[in-house]
Amino acid sequence: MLGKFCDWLDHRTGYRKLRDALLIEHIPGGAKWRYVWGSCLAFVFLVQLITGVLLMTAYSPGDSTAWGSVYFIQYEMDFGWLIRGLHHFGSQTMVVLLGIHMLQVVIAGAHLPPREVNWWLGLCLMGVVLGLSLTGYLLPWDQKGFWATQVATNMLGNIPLVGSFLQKVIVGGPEYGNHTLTHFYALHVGILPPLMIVLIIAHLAVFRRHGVTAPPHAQGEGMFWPAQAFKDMVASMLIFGIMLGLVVFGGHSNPIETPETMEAGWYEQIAKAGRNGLGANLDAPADPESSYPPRPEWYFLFLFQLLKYFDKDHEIIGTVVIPAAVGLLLFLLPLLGIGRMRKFGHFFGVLVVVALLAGAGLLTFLAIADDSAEPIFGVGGSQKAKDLQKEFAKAKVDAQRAVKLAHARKPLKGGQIPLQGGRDLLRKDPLTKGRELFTKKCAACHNYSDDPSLELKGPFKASDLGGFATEKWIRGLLEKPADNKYFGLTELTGMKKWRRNIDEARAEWKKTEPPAVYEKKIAEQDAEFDLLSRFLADQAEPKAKRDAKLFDEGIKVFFAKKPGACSKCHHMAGGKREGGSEGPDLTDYGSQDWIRLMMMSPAHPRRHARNNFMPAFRNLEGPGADVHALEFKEANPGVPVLHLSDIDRELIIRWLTKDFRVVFGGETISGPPK
Amino acid sequence: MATEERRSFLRWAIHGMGALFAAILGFPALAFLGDARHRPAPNRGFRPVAGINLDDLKMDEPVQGTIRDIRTDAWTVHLDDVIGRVWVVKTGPQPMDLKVFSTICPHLGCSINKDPGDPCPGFTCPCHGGKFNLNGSLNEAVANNPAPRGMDSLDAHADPNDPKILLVKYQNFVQGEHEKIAKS
Repeated sequence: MLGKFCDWLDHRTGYRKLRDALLIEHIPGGAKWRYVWGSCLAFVFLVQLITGVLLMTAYSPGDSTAWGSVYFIQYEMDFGWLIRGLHHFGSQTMVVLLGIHMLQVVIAGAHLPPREVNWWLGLCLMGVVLGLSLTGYLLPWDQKGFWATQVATNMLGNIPLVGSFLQKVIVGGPEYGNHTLTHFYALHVGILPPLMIVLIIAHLAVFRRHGVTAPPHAQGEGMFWPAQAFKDMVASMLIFGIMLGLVVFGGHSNPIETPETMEAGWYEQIAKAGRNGLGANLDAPADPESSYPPRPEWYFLFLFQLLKYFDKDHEIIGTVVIPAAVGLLLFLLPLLGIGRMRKFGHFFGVLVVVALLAGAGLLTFLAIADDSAEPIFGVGGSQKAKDLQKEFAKAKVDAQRAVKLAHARKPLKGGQIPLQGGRDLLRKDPLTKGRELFTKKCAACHNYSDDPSLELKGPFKASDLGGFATEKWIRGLLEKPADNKYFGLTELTGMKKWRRNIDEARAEWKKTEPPAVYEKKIAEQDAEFDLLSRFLADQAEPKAKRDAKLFDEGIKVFFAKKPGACSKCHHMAGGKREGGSEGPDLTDYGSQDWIRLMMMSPAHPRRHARNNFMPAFRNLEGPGADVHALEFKEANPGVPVLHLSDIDRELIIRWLTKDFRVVFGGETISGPPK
Repeated sequence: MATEERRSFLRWAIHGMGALFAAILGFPALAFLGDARHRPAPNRGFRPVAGINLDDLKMDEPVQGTIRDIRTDAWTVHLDDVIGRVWVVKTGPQPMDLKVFSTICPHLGCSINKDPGDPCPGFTCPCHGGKFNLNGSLNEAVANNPAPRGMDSLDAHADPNDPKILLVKYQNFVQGEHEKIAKS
């Protein structure tokens, strides 16, 4: 039945003739394993085409959509991790195979006449493969691709005369944005692959014209089909296996769930395995606002390293002259084997390609070693490299945080990326941005010792906000208000005086009371301070979550009719202070509302009033802001006002209170439910 | 092994490896392409209709309102977006004597307009001319009416906290069917 159909089809189309033309090829000396590399390259290109078209069905090239769509492919779509992973590692496999193929060609002397044209076609193909790698690297629009590709397009700008024009046209404007993505996308899927197909066809046609370059004394003859095809297929399958291995065991991606927390069922476990770290890496969304140490993909590292050896005035040697000279040399290689120079040309060709691969290998090693915190064979391990590794570590933390934030929370299905795009996830994330803003806006005066990784150096002028308003922090304040962690660095005197009185009273007890009574009194007083600390720390909780019993007990001690009671200086929960110095109102102490008033109006009668020496942080930009600033300055003469946008303020407050809900754009306070 | 047997083995081996490759890549590829099967139509609760004040509705005068809700679109979440529009027609003297219809035509999904005229005679779909009566039923008087069923009515009630506000359970329905079937 099938045979009859094939006969009919052949009669109508003549497909067997075409098939035979493709498959029937004589191979002098017979099939060899060393002839497999060209076919392997074609095979991996096929994998790239298939996975590439699949990715196209889900990718969206746009400044606010690219990262989100790649995130969705990697973490939410069935087998997206596998398809993207194959595509990612496929591109690297092609670069490796190119090197091997090129080496094998020059060793066989297959670049020499009459095969010059095919060598040149091969060089063009190499250029297209590298172009595909470069353009593809940018498409996820993550930090890594964004910054590394900037370096590449800036190098393009170094080309004399046309460089800056070319750069602007390719980038699609003066800086990276929507058109950079659409341009790179068009190059990556619409221009370079068809060009590659045309070049492959030409490469094959010219190859078939001259046949394989058999050894000079090759015995016998073999056929491409099926002997060589079998070897090609086995090698291709092995390479495919290695690619699959890299995707599955490469450990490149940032996990967002563990197998235990993922939905049950073997299918889900495999189809969504990107969630536990399988597949290609996706860095944090591209954000020009944040710094990132750009490094190209490993196969461009040699070029990156080369540039380190030229100063600004001679950079063009590394960016244009040397690459162009290498290209020219490779182009001229076959011509060196004309006529009687053939032996020399063959030897020289091997020498050049081996030297280039070795040189690139050495530069790649140096680039990796230079960035390594620990020396490798005596290279690297510098302080600069150690700092760089810290930046890489921070980038990794950002990447992990971004994908966690983007991951859909039930009952929502799908992603959770705001309309503004992936970068808003981190820009509106208290854990990332609030922390960063604290170091920029608050750390000039305040330490935050709970997080040593902030590496705040001081000199500080105010209290340490690490653990601010927690039970431990408050208890510490009651014990040693003059400590630098609390009010030691400030001019606030109320609490220091209070503690001095306590200590003097205790000294008096020691003199006048028997030891047992003295110790009992101290223990009772400390127990009261413990209770007050617990009670005050509880005020930071939302009202519904507060401990009512603790409140009753705390209020009793707070308003106790005795010297040194809190209510001598502080208002609390509607209760007025009795006089004394103007301490801040401790109603809702440590809550977001309490901190907000402290930040926006620290000299407010409910905060430090006349004792204040902190500047007010207010939004001084946007319509109406100058009116608010004027009113504030008139009402609070002498209080400096510094700019802090509403969103930035909320980010800092949420970070300080460990409320890590994302502050979405436009809605300053609200966000998705906790 | 004889040469022909060897060649035959090699051919089978090549095809076998090709099939293995096709299966390893083909199955995930099909699953990936069909990923939308994991994203069901949202089952939304009752949402207020913007642009409708139940006190202001007049008999037989259709009014259009919009419904907003959280909406997810693949990777994007729209925290407050228009998820649909409805026609509201008052049919009697009591506050809840009214009908609420989706503006989406049951024929092929165009947006249905009300007919001009006072009083309003009914609704027309501007695409293929589907005609509906004011009560949403199919206008049988029109020859070759392409719409397979009347306009899709939606469950609605007044907000117990504010009787001026209309709450509607917004849904999309399958086009081209005689029966009203909710999209899944």
